[in-house]
Amino acid sequence: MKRPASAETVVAIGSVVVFTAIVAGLWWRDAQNRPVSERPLIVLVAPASRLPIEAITADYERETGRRVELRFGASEDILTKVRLPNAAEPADLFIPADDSYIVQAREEGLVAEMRPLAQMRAVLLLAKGNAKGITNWNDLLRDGVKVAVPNPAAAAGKVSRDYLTRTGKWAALQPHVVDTGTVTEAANTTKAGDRPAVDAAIVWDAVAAGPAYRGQTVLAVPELEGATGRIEVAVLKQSRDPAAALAFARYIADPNQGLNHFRAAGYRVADAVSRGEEKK
Amino acid sequence: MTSPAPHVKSDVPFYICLGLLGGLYVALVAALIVADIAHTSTEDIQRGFASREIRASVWLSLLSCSAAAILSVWVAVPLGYLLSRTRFPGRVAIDLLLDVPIILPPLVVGLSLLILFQTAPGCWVQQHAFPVTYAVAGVVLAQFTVSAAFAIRTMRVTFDQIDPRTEDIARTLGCSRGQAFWRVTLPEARRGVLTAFTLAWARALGEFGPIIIFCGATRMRTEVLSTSVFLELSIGNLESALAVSLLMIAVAVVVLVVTRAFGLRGTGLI
Repeated sequence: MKRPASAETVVAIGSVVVFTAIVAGLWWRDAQNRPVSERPLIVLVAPASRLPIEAITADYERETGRRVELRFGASEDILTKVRLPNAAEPADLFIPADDSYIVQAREEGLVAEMRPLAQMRAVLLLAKGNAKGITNWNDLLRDGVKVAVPNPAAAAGKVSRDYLTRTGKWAALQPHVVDTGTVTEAANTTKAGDRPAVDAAIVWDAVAAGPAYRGQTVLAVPELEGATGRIEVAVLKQSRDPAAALAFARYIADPNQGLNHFRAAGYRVADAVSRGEEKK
Repeated sequence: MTSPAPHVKSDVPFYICLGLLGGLYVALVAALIVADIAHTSTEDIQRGFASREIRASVWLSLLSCSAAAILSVWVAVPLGYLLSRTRFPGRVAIDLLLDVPIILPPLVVGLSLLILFQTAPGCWVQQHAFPVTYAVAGVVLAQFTVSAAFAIRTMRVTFDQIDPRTEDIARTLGCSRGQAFWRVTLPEARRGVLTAFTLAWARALGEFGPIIIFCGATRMRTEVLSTSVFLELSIGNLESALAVSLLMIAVAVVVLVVTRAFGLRGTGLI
């Protein structure tokens, strides 16, 4: 008489069947989302610019039929991917949170050309409810006031610290400073919880203008006037289709097309930037 | 005449001490969840569910975590058994090597995977077999790399705690080593296998660093729940990030409860 299969045998065979079914499901799902014929343009983009870039991409795909694949990651992570290109799928465009990362990529000979998109300046984003009643720079120096400042690895942190040091204001502010990681992390500390852990954060105006911080006060204080940065799009040398990559970069930087979405999202698309000056 | 019963001290202080110490951690975890719930609203959760991208990331998380957990158990059972029951050259080195994915910072795991698949053999696999970097296979591989290490540790401890004499008796009764393993040791290790699976599954669900470095976050393709939280946080959308986090907790609880219910059925443990 044949012995019935043990529970272990059933589980082992079952795990093979389930695993095969999962792999088939993942393959089918991936195939559904992959372009049928043409290779999509691959854009490495920092999530800080996610909302305007997603809107621009949707417009571009609708107008031209060309597929664009946005790959999000923190600026330092996507810079690593620019440095270590995937041989099978090299990226075409690079849009980090600010131009400092493009400068690094350019110095390493990875950038074919770039175009400016928006200018940013450092501002004070006050905590939800502004419990400490902050109205100007000097209020930050009162006892018990805490100010979130991105660490120097983030451009907003480096630029604002350098500028405040040059103007002699950093030493007074430093005892009140709470170091955070990225500029978005600094901004998020002003709204996390019912009583935010900090009273203000130094962030880019473009970040403070985002819908997530609606209702919070933004102070464009003169003490941070010279702390500026910009967002740029870079066409990468590793691109397999440089002509298509450049065409999309031009579309993003066009004052009547892509830049409209940046403007709508609260970015300062300055006149000089709007002209779409090309740099090589 | 009977002598008076020896004075037995109450066990209550002992249990109070245990309860207080353990209760601190239970209270911390419960407080975290309550704080998350208090800081979000049903509208945020509904908005999260309404998003096509979030729904896609829920499905990808469920499938990729299950694939990674099954793969983890497949390697954990043989490795755990070999490390527990056998002595071979290089055993100590392998034992140490298997701790590397646990010790390494998650970002380094992701970077190492990225570099591995840029080497000649890695490129060959991608060009002739299937794409891994920035692809779903990469998500499963990143989750498996870390979660398998936890599953192997669990299986090793499980086999260490099973008395080898039962296996020896099976061999004296005519079983081969393989038959003794399959018919005696593995059934005894059932709870351990289940724990290894659930631990690997839960670890895979929470994995973020290796995935973001190795596969990026492409919406509808490589976005899993942990990367959804990152994408929402990166535009300051704390409410949506919390809603997705609560969704993760709910998904994890449902899957783990169902898995345990099925896995321990018939053992008298549930």
